[in-house]
Amino acid sequence: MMPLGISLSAPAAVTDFDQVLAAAQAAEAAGFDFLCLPERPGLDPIALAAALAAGTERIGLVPSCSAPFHQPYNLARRLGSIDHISQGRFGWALQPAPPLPEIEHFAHLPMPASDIAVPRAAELAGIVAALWDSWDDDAFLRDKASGMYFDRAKFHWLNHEGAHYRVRGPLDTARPPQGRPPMMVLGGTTIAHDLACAAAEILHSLPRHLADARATRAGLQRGLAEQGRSADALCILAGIAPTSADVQPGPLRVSETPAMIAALMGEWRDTGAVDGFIIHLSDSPEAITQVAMDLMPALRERGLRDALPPRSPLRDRLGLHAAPSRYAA
Amino acid sequence: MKPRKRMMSLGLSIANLGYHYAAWRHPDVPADGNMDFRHFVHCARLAERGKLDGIFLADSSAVRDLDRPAIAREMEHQIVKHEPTALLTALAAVTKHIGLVPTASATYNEPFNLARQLVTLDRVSHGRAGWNMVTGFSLDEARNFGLDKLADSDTRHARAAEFVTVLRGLEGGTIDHEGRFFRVRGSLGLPPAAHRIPIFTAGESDNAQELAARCADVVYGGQPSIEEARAYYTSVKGRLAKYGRDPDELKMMPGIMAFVGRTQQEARDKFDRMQALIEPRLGLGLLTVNSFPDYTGHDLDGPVPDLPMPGGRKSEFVVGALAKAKREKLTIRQLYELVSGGFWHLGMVGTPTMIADLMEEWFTTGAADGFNIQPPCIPVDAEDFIELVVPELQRRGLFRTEYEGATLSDHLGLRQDLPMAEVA
Repeated sequence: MMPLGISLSAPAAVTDFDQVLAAAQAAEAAGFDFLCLPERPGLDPIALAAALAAGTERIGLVPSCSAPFHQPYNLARRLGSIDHISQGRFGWALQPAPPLPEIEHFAHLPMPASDIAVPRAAELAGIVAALWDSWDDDAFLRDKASGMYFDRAKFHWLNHEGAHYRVRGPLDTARPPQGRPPMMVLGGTTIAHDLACAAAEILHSLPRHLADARATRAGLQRGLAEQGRSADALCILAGIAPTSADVQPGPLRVSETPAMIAALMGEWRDTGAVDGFIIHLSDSPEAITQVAMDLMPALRERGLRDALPPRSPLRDRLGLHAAPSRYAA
Repeated sequence: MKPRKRMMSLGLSIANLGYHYAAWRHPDVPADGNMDFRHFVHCARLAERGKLDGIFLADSSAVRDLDRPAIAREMEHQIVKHEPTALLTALAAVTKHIGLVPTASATYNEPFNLARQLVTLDRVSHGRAGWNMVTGFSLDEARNFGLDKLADSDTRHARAAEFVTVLRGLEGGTIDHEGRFFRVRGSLGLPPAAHRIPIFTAGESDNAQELAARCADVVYGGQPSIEEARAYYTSVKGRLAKYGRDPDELKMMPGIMAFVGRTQQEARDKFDRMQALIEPRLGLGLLTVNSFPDYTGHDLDGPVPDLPMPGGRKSEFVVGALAKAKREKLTIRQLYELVSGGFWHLGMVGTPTMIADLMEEWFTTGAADGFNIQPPCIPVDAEDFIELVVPELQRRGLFRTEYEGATLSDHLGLRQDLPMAEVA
């Protein structure tokens, strides 16, 4: 199975929850693996993901947030909560260096210099993942007869003291169902690729053509090796958009017929340039349904997709390995 | 417009499986409910069935006191939980009427982030969001945010006041704010709503009461007697005029923890059954965490010995409880049972009539405008309150029988004609 997601990418502010819910439900019904909620003005992407977790049953949910404006403890508990609510369908995207309009909302905070944006974001991501391991999966006995609620040997202080953050822990949320909800990084920039190699499990890449995608893959494999990570630790998904879609700039525009798009996807996937795709669309449920009706049969014909994927954790859908606790024996 | 009859406001606190320390051991309480979304859906729908104003999640961003082994946290259920704004935003998608009030700290959040989260909760729920504003009191929390000590009360409350100014500004549109703590320019990118998100808060300190008088719509209280509740009510409401506000613009909602029985005996049995579930080690730890001396090693069924008070604050509650122990010759076990009952707020063991009598007296004699229901065990005692006490309040004309408005402000009967500018 080739992972396939949707990114809600209309250029306007997000103001209407009911429209976002209808879009998520359309994407779910069409069999997409996950829905990206990028950072845009308007409704908060993480809060939207929480609401969508209750309003959907199968689809993965991947909201974005900007690293400099969030405390790791706050993020870990919010995101962990949503993985619990969605029963393991949650992932998140981290933007290391947000654009100016966002910075203006936090003008009292010192902005990290551009050369530390990546290490700082990587430290934040590392703390979030470590906080999720605060409680072992079997820490909670909840033995009504003896009155023992948890086993004191099965929680872990973090006592993190890094270059940019100090966090004591433990987290006040049980370990998420996925253990570590996967983190995505968006972009074709050097800093996005650096952060992806250091800390992410999904790169939402923006290649311009096949050779570009291959070169990106090769560069990322070198970067992963330098970080001591295996080549399959990072799932690379390329952003594409139909030429007609009214979306923010970034994704590769494709204008061929559904059969030709499916062939292109198959070629890119089979030659190892990417693992899968993220289709950028406007927030319209009709547009999502239309693309799915056109594209899904062609992908099924090529064996790239099943009729309806099973209900499973987002990590499984992306082909990522299970994430046992760092403290597991 | 015809002024509507004064009605009680009722909220349901749904955090932590209940306010009794052994709540999770009750046979009908789901011991893993604090991480189970379905448990909270059940609680939210229950509150909606009772026509309550809102559900409320208490919170702090830490697991507290894990480094004090004398406090038997491993026997308590208030350990792991959901993050309140995430949980309530999810619940917004599966409810229709109930108000949704998360606790969030003005000390450990950025105002733009929290404003955006609250407004998103409000839009997802079509106007049912509230915010319980806290400033933090725990070193355990501070240490999760890179701090070695708690900021002092003046600083925390000044930050919270400025935080509210930024929130109200962003609710209204575009701002260019520069103050002592924050510099925030821009907007949420959303058209303004017709109402403001109601702000809840609590606290007896002078700083807390001033902040409440300046900007809160609802104040929670924790007074165990009607005399104390009236004094607090008068004290908070007496400060409103200074900020150009009418006393009716703020609702006082003390907490009520009730063991409800169809008969007095049934209520008493419920209470005794829960008290018997408190293991001695948990009970002794509860005394320690509430600043009593550590009685570990003494005979639990012997008289409370005279031990020196631990350093730090001597609360009126502790001094009063120790005086009572001496006067009534309580044993150590009886003392921790007294404390673990949680009756430092309005506690009650009785029939629906008795509980409604008490609430009516508080409501009609200047002690309360409503109540925050803090069930000993959730959902069982919440179900009993809604099935037995709420109908009694409705019969007396003290509480609504149907929802009349759509928003939390409507439920609470808050004025909506105040311009944004008056708020800060």
